[in-house]
Amino acid sequence: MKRFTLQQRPLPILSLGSVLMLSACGTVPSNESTAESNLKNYDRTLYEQLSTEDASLYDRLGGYEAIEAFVIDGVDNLLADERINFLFEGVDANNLVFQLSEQICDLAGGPCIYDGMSMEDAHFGLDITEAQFNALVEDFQQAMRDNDVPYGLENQVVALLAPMKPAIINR
Amino acid sequence: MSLTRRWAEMALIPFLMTVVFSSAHAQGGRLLATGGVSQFEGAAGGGLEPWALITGYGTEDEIGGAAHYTTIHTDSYGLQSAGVKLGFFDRLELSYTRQRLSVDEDVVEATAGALVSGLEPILGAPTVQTVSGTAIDMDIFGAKLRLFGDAVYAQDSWAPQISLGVQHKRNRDFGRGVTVPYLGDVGVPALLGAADANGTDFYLTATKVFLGVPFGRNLLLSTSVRATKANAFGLLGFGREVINPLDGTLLDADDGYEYEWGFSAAMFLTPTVVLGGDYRTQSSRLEDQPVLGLLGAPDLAEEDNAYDVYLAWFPNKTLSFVAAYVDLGNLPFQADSDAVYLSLQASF
Repeated sequence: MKRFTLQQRPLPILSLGSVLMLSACGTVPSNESTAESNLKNYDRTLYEQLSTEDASLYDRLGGYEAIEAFVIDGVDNLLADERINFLFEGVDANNLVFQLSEQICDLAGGPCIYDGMSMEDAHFGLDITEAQFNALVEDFQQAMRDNDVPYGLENQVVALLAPMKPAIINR
Repeated sequence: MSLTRRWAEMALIPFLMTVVFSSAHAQGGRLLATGGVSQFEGAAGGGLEPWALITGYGTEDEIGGAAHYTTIHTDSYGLQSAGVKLGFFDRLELSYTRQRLSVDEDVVEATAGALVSGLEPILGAPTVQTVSGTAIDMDIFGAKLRLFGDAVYAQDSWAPQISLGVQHKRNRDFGRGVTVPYLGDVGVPALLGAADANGTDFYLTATKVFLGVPFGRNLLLSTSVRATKANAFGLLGFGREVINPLDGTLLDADDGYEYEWGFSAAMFLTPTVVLGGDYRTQSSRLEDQPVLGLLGAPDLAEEDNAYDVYLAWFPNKTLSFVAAYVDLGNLPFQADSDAVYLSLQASF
């Protein structure tokens, strides 16, 4: 899996990702040495800069199915969360699971290229507050705990998602 | 009303506020523990150090707050702190805290004994005898303004969150409270050579949270620099003014600000348990005091750097508990003031 320069912060990277990344995704076998060298171009979060892990977060989480499993529970949690569920009225839950799984897979170094809407566009006009953003974080933290995702990996997922806040709130 | 009872009642403040906060459904929208606990001067932070974070759980659209009660007990001293604070829109923190340093009888007797042995050859036997311990109360009015930065969310940046703080301290027992031979009713801070009862500290603090590192843990690092005239955090007054007690002449004085540095680290061991520690330098301007030198103890009020190591538990956003080992360094007649520190905070 190759990852190339994703310097645009905070979130345009998600839409730029498809342009910037190799189309060979998924056909090139994972290789520790190339993954490590590409991390230099992937220095987005403090976690990514400081982590000494060899394997990608995607692999340590257990791959796509493991991510999808806690995303399904996270979406269930947020649809049941009275602080924020009204924001998702009329949203296709299956599509939401797919988009969120793709994002996390992409951010965590997995073989996915999130090509959905940018975070700015996806939240335009919703006027999401910081408290609502945090409520979603809490719903996903709970989902990861319910799926026995180790606390250390949970924190690293949150670390990858945290910088999205300015792109999501007050739009 | 006995002092013990009065402080027992102050300890009820956080409990009562817990009831109010949890019944008011006013819980703020920030993530667990991101308002810190209450440092012993009443600002949001660790045990000894203020952090750049704003108290409570209020986001940029909300008001948060906290109430705390902290007790530190060493052999001859007790330090208690109780206070309230509000955080406005994750931007401005206003706090009020009352501190009480209780001084056991043995310290007062030792001070009196030194005075008598030093002065008896000159003045003859004293007419006033000391019998009881004393307490030094201090009010601390604090404000902290978040200048810029986002400690928690800006994980794509090394830039810390930086806040500017001020703590105005008013020592209520600067010049009274303890009866000593020859001098009658005096205050411990004045006796030890402090110049003023009141002082204002200014501090800058920079705080950054590292999510997911090291070992997948969330680590908070914080540092501060403080301009202060305080002696022993103000409990022994502010500045230095040594007066010859026999003729009232000024022997020396020091009214300038000095810098004190602080360092703080805290790491989540689990989603609700934090292991942390603070280190704080002190400027020690009361050491080498000539009048106390006449009594054979020129460095009676010398200050050491202070540190603590603590475990904090955040079972929910309403309550948090801190248990710590703290060393405040040298206090008069007690070279090592290491102590157990317990704190309770209610927040919203």
